[in-house]
Amino acid sequence: MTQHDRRIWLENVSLVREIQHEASMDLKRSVFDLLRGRYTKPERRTVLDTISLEVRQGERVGIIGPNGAGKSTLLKVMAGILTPTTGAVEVHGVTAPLIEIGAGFDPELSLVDNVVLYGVLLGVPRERMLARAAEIIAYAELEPYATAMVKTLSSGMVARLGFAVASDVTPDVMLIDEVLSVGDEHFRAKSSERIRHFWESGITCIIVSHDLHFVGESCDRVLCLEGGRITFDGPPRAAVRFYLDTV
Amino acid sequence: MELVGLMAERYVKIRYRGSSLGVFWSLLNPLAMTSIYALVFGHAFGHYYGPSVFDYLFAVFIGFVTINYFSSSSAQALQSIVNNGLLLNKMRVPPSIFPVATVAANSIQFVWTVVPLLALLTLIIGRNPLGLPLLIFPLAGLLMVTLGVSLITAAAHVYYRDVPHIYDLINFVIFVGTPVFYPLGIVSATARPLIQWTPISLIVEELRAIVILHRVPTLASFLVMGLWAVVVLAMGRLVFVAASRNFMDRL
Repeated sequence: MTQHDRRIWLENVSLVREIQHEASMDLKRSVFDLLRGRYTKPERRTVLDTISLEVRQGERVGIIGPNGAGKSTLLKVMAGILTPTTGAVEVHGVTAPLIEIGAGFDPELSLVDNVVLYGVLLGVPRERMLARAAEIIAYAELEPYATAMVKTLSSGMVARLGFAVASDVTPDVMLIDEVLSVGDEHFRAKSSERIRHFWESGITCIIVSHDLHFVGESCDRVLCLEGGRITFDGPPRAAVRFYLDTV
Repeated sequence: MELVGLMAERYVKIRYRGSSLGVFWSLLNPLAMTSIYALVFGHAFGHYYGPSVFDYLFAVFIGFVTINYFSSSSAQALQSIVNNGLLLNKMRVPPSIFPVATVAANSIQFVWTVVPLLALLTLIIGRNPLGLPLLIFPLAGLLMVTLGVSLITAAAHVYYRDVPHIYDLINFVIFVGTPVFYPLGIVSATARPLIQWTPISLIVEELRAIVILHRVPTLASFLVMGLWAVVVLAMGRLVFVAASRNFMDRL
């Protein structure tokens, strides 16, 4: 593998997080506890444990594993949302994180304003978002609501809008966390179509999913994660078999 | 940078949507406060400021707009990161944009409403066109101090969720400890230096000197204020950068 077609590279990435309890979030209590000599060390948990990984351009990698294995955390590290405690991360190219899309919306703003804001949060220049806004809203089939506040939309409509903005950019790397289809039957088909287009156009995709059938059939390579460690890294069907044997 | 501008615009937009007075609402609070304080304390304190009741009125107004900008910016910034915790968990966004955009939104509002009034008063009451460029110094100092404090309060709130209650108290102490509605002259000589040399007091007194008293503030006052501004902003930045390493564990 040459340096050139390497998209994602993680070396010995570990992430240790502090577990917060209610008491430790209270300044008054913390100070009193300290004065009484009852300092409690914050509890720590290793969420990712020395993960090394290389993903090439165009590879479609699935990540499977039980709840709490660190799958979403790993995706957030790749997206730059979380910084590893130790180890190095390199991601080359434009990244589109489809992680709980819609979280960036402000319910008090209009759809147009939200589309622009969301796009700028994703790193797209404002001018470009202004030019694209109408088309994005049309794709979400929400034109009649363009100037309405987002809080007047139903949750399904918000998900449609989120998907429309997040999938409007043409990324080099897509990080997907179980958002393959949103909205009603009609929109579900439409969004799957767009994902399939991305999937087949040679974009590097990392997908966290519990849909073992999909992962087994559509990915080029699958990682099994457990307790923050990669327990299997290889062909999809073998990975699914490995996972099913361990649970 | 683009993001900060957009965020600030969004804050201003949401706050004043649907009111015909728009950002001018923000003048209502200091105007009401000024009237009440003038009514109660005007008789006792008025002569410290000048022969006319207006001298006291203008002095109190300047005090209120200054402290209002400071305390509402820092109190709003305090909540800003925790309020956007969900977003920070889903997208790669530098957390500092939230307190900075909050202060920026308050500054936009301040520049549209209060600054023109101050300039007007400088020309009419102070009859002091040369004072106009001097206004820059206390206003820049005010921005820097407010931004520095806002970065600290916002970071503190991520760590401890009871900080808002404590900061309410601190804000009250700052208000009473600043000569907003009382003259420095009534404070005992022992306590006076404690009040006189705080950043907000210096800024209020400098603004009064330029806007209504037709005076150039002393060099010492400018220097101490400038020093405060630099130190507070630098400290805010330092605290924020150090604290932000552990933000994600607490959001």
